[in-house]
Amino acid sequence: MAYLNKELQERVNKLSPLNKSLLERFLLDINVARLESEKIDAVTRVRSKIREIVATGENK
Amino acid sequence: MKILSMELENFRQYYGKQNINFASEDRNITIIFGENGKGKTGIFRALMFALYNATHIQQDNPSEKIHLVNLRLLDEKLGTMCKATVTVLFEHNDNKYEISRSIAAVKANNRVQERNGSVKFHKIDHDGNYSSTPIEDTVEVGKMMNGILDEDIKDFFLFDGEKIDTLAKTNDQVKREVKSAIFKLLQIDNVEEARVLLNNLKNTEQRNVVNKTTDVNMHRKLEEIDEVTQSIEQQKEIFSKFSEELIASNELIQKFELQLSQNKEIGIIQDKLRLQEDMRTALVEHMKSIKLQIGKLAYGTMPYLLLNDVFHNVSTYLQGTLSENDSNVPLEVIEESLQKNVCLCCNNNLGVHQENRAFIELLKQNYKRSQSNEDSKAILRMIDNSSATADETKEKALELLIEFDAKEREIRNIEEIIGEVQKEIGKKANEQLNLEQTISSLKKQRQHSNEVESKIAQSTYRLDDLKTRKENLQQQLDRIIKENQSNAFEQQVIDVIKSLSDDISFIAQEFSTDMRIKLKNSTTEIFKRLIDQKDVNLIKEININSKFELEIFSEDDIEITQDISQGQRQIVALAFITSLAQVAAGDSEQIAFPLFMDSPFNRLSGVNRDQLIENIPSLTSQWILLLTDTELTTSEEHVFKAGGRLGKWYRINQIDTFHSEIEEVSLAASMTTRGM
Repeated sequence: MAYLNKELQERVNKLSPLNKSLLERFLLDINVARLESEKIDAVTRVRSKIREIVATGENK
Repeated sequence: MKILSMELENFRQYYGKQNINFASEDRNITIIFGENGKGKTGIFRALMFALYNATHIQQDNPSEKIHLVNLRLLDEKLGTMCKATVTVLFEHNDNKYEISRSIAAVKANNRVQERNGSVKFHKIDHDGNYSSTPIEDTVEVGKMMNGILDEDIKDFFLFDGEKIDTLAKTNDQVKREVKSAIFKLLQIDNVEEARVLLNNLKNTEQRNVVNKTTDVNMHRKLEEIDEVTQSIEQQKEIFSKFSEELIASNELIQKFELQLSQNKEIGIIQDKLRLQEDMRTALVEHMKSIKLQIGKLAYGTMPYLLLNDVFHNVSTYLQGTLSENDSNVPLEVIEESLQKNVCLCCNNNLGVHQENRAFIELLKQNYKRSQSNEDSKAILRMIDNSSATADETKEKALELLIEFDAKEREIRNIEEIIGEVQKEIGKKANEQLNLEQTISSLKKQRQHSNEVESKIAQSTYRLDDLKTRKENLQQQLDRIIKENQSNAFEQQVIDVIKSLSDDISFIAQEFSTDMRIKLKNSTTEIFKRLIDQKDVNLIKEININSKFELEIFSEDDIEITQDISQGQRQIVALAFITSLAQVAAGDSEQIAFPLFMDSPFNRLSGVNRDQLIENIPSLTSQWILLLTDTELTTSEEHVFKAGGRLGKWYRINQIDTFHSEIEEVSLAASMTTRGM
C-alpha cells in the first residue's frame, strides 16, 4: 500500500528529519514492491539518496 | 477509500446500462435489495471485476467458468463480439479515481468464448478533469489498486456472506489468513523486511570499504565476521533440520496415539464380544439342565399322562375284581385245614361237614386269583399316584418347554449380536496393530522428540551466542573503519544507513506487540457494541495472541473460542474486520474503507441484526449491503429507517431471463416483501 498506517507513521514522525524522510520513502517503496527486483530497486534508491545526502553534506 | 458510483453495462444479468450511486457521509448506508437469483451477487462480482480483474469470487469453484458478458446480448448477437464493462468511481486520500474494465465474448455453436478485455485507470483532479493518459497496463493498474486496498486484504472489506462464515471458523487456514491480514494491513511484515534490508545494506557498504583498503586489521575482522556468519548459517541449517525433525516426530507421536485410541476401540468391542459369548455359554448350560429335566419327565412320569384314560378303565375293572375276590385266608392255612380235615380257622370237622370241606377246596382252587389281587392293588396304587400328580406333571412339563423355547430365542439373539460384533471387529482388523509394539514405538518417539527439543534448545543457545559474537565483531569493525580517515565519505554513508537501521530496529521491536494490543482492545470494544446486549457479559476479551490468532475469553478468563455459538462467532469476525481496518487507519472513530457485504445477515439472529444495523454505520465510512428478502424484512427495514443512516435504496427487478435492472427507490417508500 502506498501509505503508512497511522501508527507506523506516528513512529516514523518521531525520528530525526533526515531519517524520517529516508525511512518513510523506503517503507513506502517496500510496501508497494511485489517482486524481489522491486525490493532491490527500493534498496538501490535509498542507497543513492543517502550518498547524495552525504555528498551535499545534508547529513551534517 | 470511498466508492462513489458504479456503472454496469451488459455485465452478468444486467442487460444494457445500469447505475448505482453509493451513499456516504452522514447517511452512509446503501442497500441493494433483491430476491435470490435476481443479480445481487452480480453486483459484488462487478465490483471485484472492475477493481481487481477477478472473474471468480470466494464462493465460486475456481475450475468452473463464470460468464461475465450478458448471455441475452450474446444470444441476440450470435457470432458477434460483445462487451461487458464495469466502471467504478471512487475516492481515496482526497483523490478521485475511475477504473473501467471490460471483457469481450462471442457466442457461436452454443459455446461462449471470452477474450481478454481492457482496463483504463484515470486519476481525476479536484476540478473533475480526467488524466489525459489513463493507465491501461493491467499490471500497473493492479499495482495502483494494491496501493489503495491491497488485493490480499480486500476480502476483509469487500466480502460475501460466506467470508464471515469462513472467518468465524478456527482452523489453521483461517489462522493463516487472519495473521496475513494483520501483517499486511498493519504493515508489520514491511517493517521487518525494511529492517533486514537496511541491515544487509549496511553490511554490503562496509564490505565495499574493506575490499578497497589494504588495512590488514579490517580484512582480518571481516574474515572473522564472515566465519561467524558462516557458522550462523550452518547453525541455522542445523536448527531448521532439528525443527523439521521435531515436526515429523510429533506427527508420528500423533499417529501412534491415534492408533492406540483405535486399538482401545477394538479392545472395547472385544470386551463386548466376550460378554456376549459368556452369556451364550451360560444359556447353553441352562438349556442342558432344562433338557435333562424334560428327559426325566419324558421317560418318567409323562408316559402315564398318555395312559390316563386307560388307567381309568383299568382302575374300575381292578376295583371290581378285587371286591369279588375278597379273601384274606393264607394258602398254607387252607392246605393244612384240608390235610388235617379240620378248619384251622374255626375247628370245624371237615370230615363231618363235607359241604364245608367243599368250600375250602373251592378256596384253594380260587387261590390263584386272590394272589393276583396283590398285583391289582399295586397297579391301583400306581394309578392313584399317577392321577394325583398328573396335573402337576402336566404343568411342570409345560413350564419346562416354555422356558426351553425362551432360552433358545435368547441364544439366537445373542448369536446375532455376536455375528455383528465379529463383523465390526473384522472391519477394524486391518487397522489393528500390535498394541504393545505401538506403545513401545510411542514411548521411543516421545523420547526422540524430547532429545530433538533439547538439541533445538542447544542450537538456539549457540545461535544466540554466535549472533552476539557477530555483533561484537561488527562493532569492532565499525570502530576500525571509523578510525581509518581515508574512508570518511563511505563512513558517513555507513553511519546514515546504520542510523536508519537502528531506528527501524527500534520501531520493529515494539510495533508488532503494540499493534496486537491495540487490535485486541479495539476488537473487544467493537464486539461489545455489536453483540446482543444480553450476551455482552458472556465474553470478557477477544485476544490476539503472540501468534496473531484470535482467542476468546469468558468473564472468568477461560478460553471459550470453540464454545461460542455460530452467530456470536460471526459477530466476532465482524468486530475483528472492523477493528483491523480501524487500527490500520489509526482512526479510533471510523474505518477508511467501505464495508461491502453480500448477504451478511443470513445466519444472524434478529437482535444481532438490529445491533449491527444500529452500530456498523458509525464504525465505517460506508456500508454497502446486498440483501435478500429474508434478510430485509419489515423489522429490519424499520430499524434501518429509524437509525437515520440509510442514504440509498435500490431494488433489483428481473425483467426477463438474463435481464435485470436496478431501480432506485425513494427512501420514504417500503421495499420489503416479507414480515408485513
